[in-house]
Amino acid sequence: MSRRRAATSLALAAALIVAVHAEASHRPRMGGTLRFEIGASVNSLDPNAKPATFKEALARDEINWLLSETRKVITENEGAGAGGPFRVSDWEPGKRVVLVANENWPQGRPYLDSIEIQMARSAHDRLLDLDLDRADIVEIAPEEARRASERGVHVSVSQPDELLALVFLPSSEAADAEQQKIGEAVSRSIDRAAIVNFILQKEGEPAGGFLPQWSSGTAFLFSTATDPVAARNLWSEIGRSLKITLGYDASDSLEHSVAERISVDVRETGGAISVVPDGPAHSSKGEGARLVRLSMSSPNPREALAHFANELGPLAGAEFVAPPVDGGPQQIYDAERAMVNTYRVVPLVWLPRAYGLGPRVRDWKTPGPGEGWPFADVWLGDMK
Amino acid sequence: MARVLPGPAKVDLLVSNMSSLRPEQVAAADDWLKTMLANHRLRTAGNQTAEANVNVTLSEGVTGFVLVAQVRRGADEQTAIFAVDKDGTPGKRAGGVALQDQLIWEQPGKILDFALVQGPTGDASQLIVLEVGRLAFYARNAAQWQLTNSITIPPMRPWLRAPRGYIDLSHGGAQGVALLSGVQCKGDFTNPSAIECSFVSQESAPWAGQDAWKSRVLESAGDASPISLECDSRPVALATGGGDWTQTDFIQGYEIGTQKGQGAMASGNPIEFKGPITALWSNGATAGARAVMQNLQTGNFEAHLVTATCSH
Amino acid sequence: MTFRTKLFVVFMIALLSSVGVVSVGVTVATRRAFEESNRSHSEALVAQFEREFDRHKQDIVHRVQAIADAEATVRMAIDLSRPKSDVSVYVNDARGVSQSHQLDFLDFVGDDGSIISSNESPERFGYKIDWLTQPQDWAALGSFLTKVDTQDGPALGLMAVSVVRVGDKNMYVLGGERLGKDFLASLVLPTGMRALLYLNLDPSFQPANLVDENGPVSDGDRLATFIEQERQQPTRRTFKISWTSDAASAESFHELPLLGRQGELLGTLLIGNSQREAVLLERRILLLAVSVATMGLLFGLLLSWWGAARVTRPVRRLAEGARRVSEGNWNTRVEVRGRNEIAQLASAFNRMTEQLSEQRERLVQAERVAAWRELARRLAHELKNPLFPLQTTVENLQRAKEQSPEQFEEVFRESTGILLSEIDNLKIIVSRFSDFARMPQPELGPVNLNETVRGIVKLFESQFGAVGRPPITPELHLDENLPMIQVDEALLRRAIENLVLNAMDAMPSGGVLMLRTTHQDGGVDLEISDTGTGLTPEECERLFTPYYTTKQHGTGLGLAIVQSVISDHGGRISVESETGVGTSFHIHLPVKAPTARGEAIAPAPAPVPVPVEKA
Repeated sequence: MSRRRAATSLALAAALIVAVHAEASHRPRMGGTLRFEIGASVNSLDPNAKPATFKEALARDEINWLLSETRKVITENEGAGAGGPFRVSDWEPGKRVVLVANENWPQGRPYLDSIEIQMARSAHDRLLDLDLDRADIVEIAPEEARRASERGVHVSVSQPDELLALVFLPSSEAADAEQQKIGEAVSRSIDRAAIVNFILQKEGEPAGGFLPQWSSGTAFLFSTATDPVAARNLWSEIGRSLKITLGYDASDSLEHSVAERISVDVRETGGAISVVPDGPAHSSKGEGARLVRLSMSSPNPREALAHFANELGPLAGAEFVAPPVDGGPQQIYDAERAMVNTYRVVPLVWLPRAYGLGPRVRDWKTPGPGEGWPFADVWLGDMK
Repeated sequence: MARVLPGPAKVDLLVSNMSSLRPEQVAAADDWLKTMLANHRLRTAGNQTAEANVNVTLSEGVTGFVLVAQVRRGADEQTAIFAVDKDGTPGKRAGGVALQDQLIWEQPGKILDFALVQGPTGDASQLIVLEVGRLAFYARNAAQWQLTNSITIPPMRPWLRAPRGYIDLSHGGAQGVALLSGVQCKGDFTNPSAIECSFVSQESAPWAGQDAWKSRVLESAGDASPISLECDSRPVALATGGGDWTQTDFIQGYEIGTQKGQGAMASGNPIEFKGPITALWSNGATAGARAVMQNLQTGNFEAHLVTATCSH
Repeated sequence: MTFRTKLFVVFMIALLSSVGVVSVGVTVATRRAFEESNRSHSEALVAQFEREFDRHKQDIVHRVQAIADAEATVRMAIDLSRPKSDVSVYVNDARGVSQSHQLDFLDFVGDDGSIISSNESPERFGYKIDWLTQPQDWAALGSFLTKVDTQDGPALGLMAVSVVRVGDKNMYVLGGERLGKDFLASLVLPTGMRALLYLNLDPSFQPANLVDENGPVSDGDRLATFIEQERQQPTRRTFKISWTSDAASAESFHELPLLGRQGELLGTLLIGNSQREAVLLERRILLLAVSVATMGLLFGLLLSWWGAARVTRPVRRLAEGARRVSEGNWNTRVEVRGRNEIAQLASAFNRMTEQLSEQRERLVQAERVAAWRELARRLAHELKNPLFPLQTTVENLQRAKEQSPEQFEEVFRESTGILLSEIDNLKIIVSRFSDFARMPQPELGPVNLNETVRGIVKLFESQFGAVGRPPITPELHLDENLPMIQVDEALLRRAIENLVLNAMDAMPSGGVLMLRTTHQDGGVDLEISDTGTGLTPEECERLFTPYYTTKQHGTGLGLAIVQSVISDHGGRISVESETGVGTSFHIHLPVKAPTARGEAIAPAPAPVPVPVEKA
């Protein structure tokens, strides 16, 4: 046998050995504590409590999903039921929660004995903990996913299912027509492609509408291109000197970067936006706005759009009409188009969810829209 | 569409694809659209001035395919969106046929086909590799295949540039047949010295029939092979991609529609390979196929066993 | 003002003028010297600052070049030179590199001018910096000033550009430091100096853009005018400003324009030099000078006063002597010392007073003789009148005895009557002379002059309307608020009666006799006026001379006696008259009469020598 063939045989043999072992270690193993780190800070698991940020709301819902039998948000009536795959064992509001496996979960006891969720960890600390094997799974900011992957981190990225949008706060003083022009001028000023390419490092998609392409199939009908000429004309039509204040979550570096970029884009077309961390709470003369991150409630476009309409309408003080329950793609598109054309909410980008996985983690499937953390199916194997 | 555009008129039709439809499916959709337009007395303008521009985008969402028609007449633009049932057109069904791949053998030289002979314990005890001009026999030695014998297949004429080969052990290893272009070797493949080779005509080559079957059922430009598997009472076939031998390839499972007019429907997730699949053969009674791939990175030829199961 | 005072004032003026001129001269010279010193000092410091600034600029050029030469930068440039390279992977690189090289501003810019990564404006990726791609020899240009957009707003940067060339593609490294309070804090300036920076980033002057090492300058709008001048015409200039009313708060500024690449004014550097030390030193010097001048002036004052006193003493004594002479002490002599003009004057004075004394002696004697002659004449005249009838009567007696003894008895009886009458006249004349000779000392007592006047008028009432003569109408205008006066009432009555009689004698055809009393000047005034024949001016002059009379009869002593009485009471009497109209006598009497008898011509006392300083 030639040397090359011998080497190939050796490689084949090694591959076979690994494959055999992989086959053996491919079976779920019971036990272990999975260490999970997230950036949000959840101060209360009460679904009726008003969360400080959208991220806190998301994280709270995720945790509640793990505690809920039906994988829905816990209601008051669920107290005496069998519960979800996990139950709370230790709770330090805003810092840490420990969930232990629910032995009596009807769908079968989870593989993990417990999950220790560290909250309010910074993005840098999360990655460091993963590197130092102090965490098994960490949330990774979408803009960090690419860099983390280049560093050798096993990154699992979902489809983009979280919308980052700019919401104009309700104002009693701005006329609707003028408010619409302001929103459209801002929308046409923003270079969404640059935000995706540079800030998100290509993890995400520009958003022209409220549904991603993979969900509705019609997202391409909502333009995401920047149109500085049209924006300038709109600013001229508005006439009066505006000072729009754009608030963002001060603890979110992504929102900060996006807000600053929007400020530059708007300024380049003749508008004026000042960026304010954690502000404003209200608006006068239609000049207050905020960045908002909202996850899709379902992959189904009709359900997802209805959820956005219900959440974003009150926030923007707009009457968003959800598509009919039996509506087809045309009705969904029409409802989406109507929401977009108010320019009360300006979709910016779609963000994926990204997680860094440690070597022990098995069977992690990054959740899609409407899906929670799949800890019920995750198990811990040996270090790879 | 007809409601959007009253005829007669000349229209400029542009069809673009954003879905997972393959090019041939898109072409079929294009033809279908033109037919529909013609039925409503709307013709494509060609080099002539069009009265309206029709941009049709074949898109896809989570609920299915979406056909988006944007009709522009002057400054007026209308958009019509239609849902397209995935069952009615070549499409993909998630879930479906689950494929698993196993690398059996790898070598620098070209492999035309390979076969595994089961031993008394049920495990493969012998590996037969059909090369251009040679049949090689390997026996298992611990975890490795070790060459035990080989037979030179003399060509009657210079080998074709793209020779094909096939090993048929459907009647057992003792009555094996190895076919190359115009050459047939028969005999007891467990005792290679008893194998005899002779010249045969090309028409009896099994790939001819397979190609015919493929063109009738599957419009895939690559190789395809039915396998011994049915999912939801639909026969399953495996097919490769339509790229050339400089591109990586994949094997996709298909469920063949049993009703009239139904073609093959991609089912399940494909398996990606690091090079072109040069040969794909049904693996007899097992729910799988034998695939030979040339690894573009290493240059070696790899023998893979692809098994399929129904997953829902 | 006395001569001594005048001389003193002249000395003082001379001294003050001299001291003033010297002080002003010293002050001006000192101030100019200080200003010159300050100016030189400031210029030296400005030159030092400019050298420091240049060194800083060079340092920035080196640091930017080091970044451009770094392997990571070169790799980035190589990667970006490939077609369809992914620029986005480098979007955050500028931050780390700028921190490691301690630059405030750092931009990696692509061949087309698009920002790849920016430290100060990380959100500006993709936007272009067009001026970077214009043809320019960046290496030769070195560092330059430019306006930089940051997240906090526009700023001023001291920048440099290095170009990394890969094939036909350029990648630009634009880096620099922010010119602001931190930059100013890095400058090492001596005590009393400070640097201000005005960032010319707005269309109009903004006080908040004027910073020092601590941030925006308070009272920055005080410099608005100067900065606005600089904005209109960028050039080096100097100016001075006082921050408060205190001159020590003054600060002189050197204004240096900071120009951009194209000569546009991007900022103004103000090097301030506090004038406090100089002003305080100047003040100290001035204070010293003033103190010395004051002491000098005081000394001069004393010296001048003493000098003036010394110089004017003989003059004073001369004046004193003259005063004494004017008071009647004609025997005054001044002492003569030396031979100067004053001594000569004193000698002449002495001679004059000597002559005056002699002449006065002679005059007194002559007057005495004249008075005796006059008295004798008058006496002779008075006596002659009664003596003639006496003589005639005796002659008649003799004749009658001789010639008509039968009529002698009758003639004797007639003649003896006439003799007795004339002897009475003689007795009256002798009595008047006697009275005048021995005027008694007044015996003072409180007297109501109005009562006295009313009494006298009542006394003469019958005579005013006497039968056979035209009536005389008395008019009384008496001030009822007249104070009591200290006089001898009898003497005063006599004097007033005399004047009333004279007035009656002056109105043979009748008329009005007016008596008025008023309170004046610490005394009382009595006016007695008539509408008689009046007096000539010559008669008025001699009116009070003893034995002078205008009447046919009378001794001529009445008014002299009146004058004597008035004078003895410390008063005065004067007369006004116009012929054909009438005569008024004005008497002023003090409320309190002098203790001693009034001035009178008395024998001259012994002369008192007045020493005269040698001039």
